[in-house]
Amino acid sequence: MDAKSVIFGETALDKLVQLLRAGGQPRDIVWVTERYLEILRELVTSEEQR
Amino acid sequence: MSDQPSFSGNSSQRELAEQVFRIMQTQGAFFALDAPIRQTLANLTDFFASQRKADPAVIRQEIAAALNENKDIFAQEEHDGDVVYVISRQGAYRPRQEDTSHMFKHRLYEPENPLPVDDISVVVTTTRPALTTVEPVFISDYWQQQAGLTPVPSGLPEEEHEPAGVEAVSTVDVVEAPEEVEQVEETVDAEPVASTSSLPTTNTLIALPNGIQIDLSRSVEDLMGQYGATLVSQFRTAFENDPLRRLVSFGNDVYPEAAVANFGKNDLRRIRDYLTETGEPLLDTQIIADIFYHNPRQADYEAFRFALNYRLNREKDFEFVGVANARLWSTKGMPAIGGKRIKASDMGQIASYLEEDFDDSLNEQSTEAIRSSGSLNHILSFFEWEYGVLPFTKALRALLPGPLLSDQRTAVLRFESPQHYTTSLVELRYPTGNRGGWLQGFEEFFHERLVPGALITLSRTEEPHIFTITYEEQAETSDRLLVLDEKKNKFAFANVTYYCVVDEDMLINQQQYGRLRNLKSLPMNERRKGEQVLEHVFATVGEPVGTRSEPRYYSTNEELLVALNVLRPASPSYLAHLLKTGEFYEEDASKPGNWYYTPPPRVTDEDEEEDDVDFYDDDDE
Repeated sequence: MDAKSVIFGETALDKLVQLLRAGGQPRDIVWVTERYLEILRELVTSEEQR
Repeated sequence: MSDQPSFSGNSSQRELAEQVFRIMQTQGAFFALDAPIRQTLANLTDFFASQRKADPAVIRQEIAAALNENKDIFAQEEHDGDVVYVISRQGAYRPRQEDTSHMFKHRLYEPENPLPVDDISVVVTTTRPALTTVEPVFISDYWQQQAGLTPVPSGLPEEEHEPAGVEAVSTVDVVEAPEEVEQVEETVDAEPVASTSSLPTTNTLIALPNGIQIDLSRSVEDLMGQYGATLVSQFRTAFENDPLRRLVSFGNDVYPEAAVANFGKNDLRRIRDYLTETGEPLLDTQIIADIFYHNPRQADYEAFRFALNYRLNREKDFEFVGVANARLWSTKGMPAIGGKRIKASDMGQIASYLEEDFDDSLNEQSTEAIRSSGSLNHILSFFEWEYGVLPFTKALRALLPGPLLSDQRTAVLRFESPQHYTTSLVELRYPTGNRGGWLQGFEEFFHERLVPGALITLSRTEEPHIFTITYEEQAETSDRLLVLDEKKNKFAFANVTYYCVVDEDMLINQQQYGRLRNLKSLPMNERRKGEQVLEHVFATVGEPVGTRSEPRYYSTNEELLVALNVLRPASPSYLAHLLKTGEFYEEDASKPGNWYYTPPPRVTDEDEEEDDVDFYDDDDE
């Protein structure tokens, strides 16, 4: 995905929701933010590698 | 209107060319007017040979000859040894020319005469949109290059490469000998192109809603290290504004809304009844154990706990009064903590001097010392002792936990007295806006165990909401101390026996502060105004040095501070501010720290004059 089209806090939020649901317990917001950055990073850098 | 072109050649050739044109026109009947319609010579030969029952070789020659005569209409291409004729529905095929020299996107993002960019904030707007949707801030490559956020790609004019070129020269200069200047220049030309072409072409910069750009090619640890607080707050804002509410939070915990358990009216009623019956705020874990019989060893315990906190926080009948790691809940109808002698609105304004930067509480103990030792010493003033209130100073802020929720107004803490095995529920009111915060609920403990001037120590325990309050004991001491007779609403001196160590300067006994018995117990709403309270206090505690017609009073900083703290809490810097800014005060030039107060002239009747006589008489006691 092109980084320009990433909306922070909206893009790929569903993936994060799935991750949290799979965990089965609430998580600290810092941990959640880090996981969200990882998801966004993967989206953007996979485009770069292609 | 005829849509058929005119054909050339002899009559049979013209006829044949026209037939071929019609066939191809029919073939592309649904094409765009200027779209190419292609047909091979082989196909045309087969068609006409079968129609005319003639020799295909002859027909092929005839078609080729006829169409060669009309080359301006039938364009020819060679494909795999066969001739392909190309026309359009209009006649000859002419490739479409698209004029892209005046595209709106170019004019918008790459203006001919751009404004100078001194700061990226010129381009990025931080104003909030009218609708609370989270919109990304797109910045064109042009502006990003101007602001130096992205590297300049190759293929731009020479001057664009200047910074890279200069750097390259300087690097090479060090290595190369000075006489090889020509060679160096060649290297300079080649290097920037090579370096820029090796840069990744994909943009990995994303813009946060507040305009800050972060590069996702960096590691998560790096990003969190540099922008951690911003990223967390922007992410929190983003998912809180998400119209689908996919993620919800309570404090610092985040969980998908769809997975949060619901509580029915009956559940909420049971929680409310239990809280009311207990009579004091309860921990979430206690509510879960006592009402829902949920076991911490159950896999969904934490999710259930989150659900309870999240749902109760959305109910207006419940109020969160806990702190981090001790989530306490209160409900309507529970007994007020700290009594009702002072209204919250009055106390908030009385303590507002703390928010106006007149807080001296860290002069004797630093924040670090309080945090590391986990305890704080404090000398009780009369006001604090009388009403069981402690202003929420910076020193207390260092010791006590902050609010867990952004809109949290109060927290309930428990102060245990290890010397007497008693506990006091204390309400901590956090500061809001320009109103100060305070703790209330110590009244009973203070009145039973301490006197104004007592030195107390507040300490943390392992539980985040439980603290201890201690004091140093001493042998029985009796003195005539200032007390407030609430029935008469007057101050008086009475014999008091106490067992705690006191600061002698802050101990309000008759010997030191005899004049204070004439202090009026002003209504609490009048005590909000520090200026008026000080005028009254000065006229009461100060030594009269004027005449009856032109009264004047003289007092010291220390005396005024103790006396002012009888009616309202005040810090030394707040007192100094009142004295310096008050127009009726004048510092004694010969003795700094001593002050004169000359009350403004006022019309008095005889009764008031008689009262004044009483005031002067008290000096003789």
